[in-house]
Amino acid sequence: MPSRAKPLLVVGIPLLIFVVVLVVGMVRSGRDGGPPGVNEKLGEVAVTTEKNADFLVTTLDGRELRLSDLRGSIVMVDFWSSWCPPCRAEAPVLVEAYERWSKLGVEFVGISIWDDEDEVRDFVMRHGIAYPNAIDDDGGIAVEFGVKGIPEKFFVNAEGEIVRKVNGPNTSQSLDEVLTEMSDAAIGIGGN
Amino acid sequence: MLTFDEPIAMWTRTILLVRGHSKLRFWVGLVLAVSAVVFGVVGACVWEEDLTTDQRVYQLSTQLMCPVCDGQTLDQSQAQLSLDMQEVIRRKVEDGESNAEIREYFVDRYGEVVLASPNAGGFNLVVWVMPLVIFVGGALLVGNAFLNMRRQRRAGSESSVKGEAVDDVEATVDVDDSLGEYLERADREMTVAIGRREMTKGEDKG
Repeated sequence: MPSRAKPLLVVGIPLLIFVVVLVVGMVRSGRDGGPPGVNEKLGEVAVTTEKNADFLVTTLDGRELRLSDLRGSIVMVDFWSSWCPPCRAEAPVLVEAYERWSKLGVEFVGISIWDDEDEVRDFVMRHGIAYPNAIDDDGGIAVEFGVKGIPEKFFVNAEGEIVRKVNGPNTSQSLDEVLTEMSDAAIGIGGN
Repeated sequence: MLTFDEPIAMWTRTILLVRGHSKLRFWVGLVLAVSAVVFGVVGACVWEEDLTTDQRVYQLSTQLMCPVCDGQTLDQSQAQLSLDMQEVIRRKVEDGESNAEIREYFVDRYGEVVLASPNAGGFNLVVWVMPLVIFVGGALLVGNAFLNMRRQRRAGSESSVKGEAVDDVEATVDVDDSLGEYLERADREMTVAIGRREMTKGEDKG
């Protein structure tokens, strides 16, 4: 082997391997969603939560509520905070949507996280929220569901499986779309 | 019965035996070095069972990233989510779950980005193997360069010794040649000078 080619191989090949590994790593990390951040993706995202995740909470009116007890109904679980501007903006949308969808057997459950009880009660009163709400005191439910930011919504089908997740605030239209598709799937129209 | 002096005598005999044999000395040195590394690593290992709950919570908090912070592990972050996650870790440790199970729980919910160091499997294996490859490759390169330098130095000193000998011979030859020329010239000039003196003497007599 010529004396000039040897150092070129010794240095060049490892360098080439290093560059290839770097590029593949960058492409892969980009595909996996990049570095952790607060809901870098808004709108509907893939569900990473365990399908049968459950919780037991005491609602603001003192009742015990277990998510799995609502099996048979489509359930929308909303993680929110009274101090969060998008949650405030979204509250009238949820109140109005619950009025329509509860008549069709759809349940809404609000879980307030990182919040103060008095603020939560005041918020619920002020916006006239009729669906059950509870406070996740130690954040255990938020962690169990893999919540990263607020608001985040999880949609549970009639079999009690978490099937869809939406990050960020919803409009009446986007909420209707998801619930309509899930209801259609429940009665055998379309997929899901 | 083994007395106190016997192990010392045994070591002394071994050292004396090893001193005389360079190959044996190399292997004994290698075994001692590897043993030191193995015992050092094993001794430095901290087992889960030996830690208190607080220590394990802290240990896991340094191995998991805060999902809502930029490049901070749970123990570095003051975000409410990090504090909640640490509380969940504590509950799981108290429930008797292993560190691996607890890490897996968070990976299931937040993805692999929640791990401060990636799992050693699949493509991630490259991250673990690469430093070793670079280290071994670097050591080989340095070793190769060192051997080349030694070889060149040895070749250089041999050629310089040879070169000096050649120079001596050449110098002798040169000296011999120039001396010969000098002597020839001296002869010629002396012959001419003697001839002239003879001629002058003859003219004077004449």
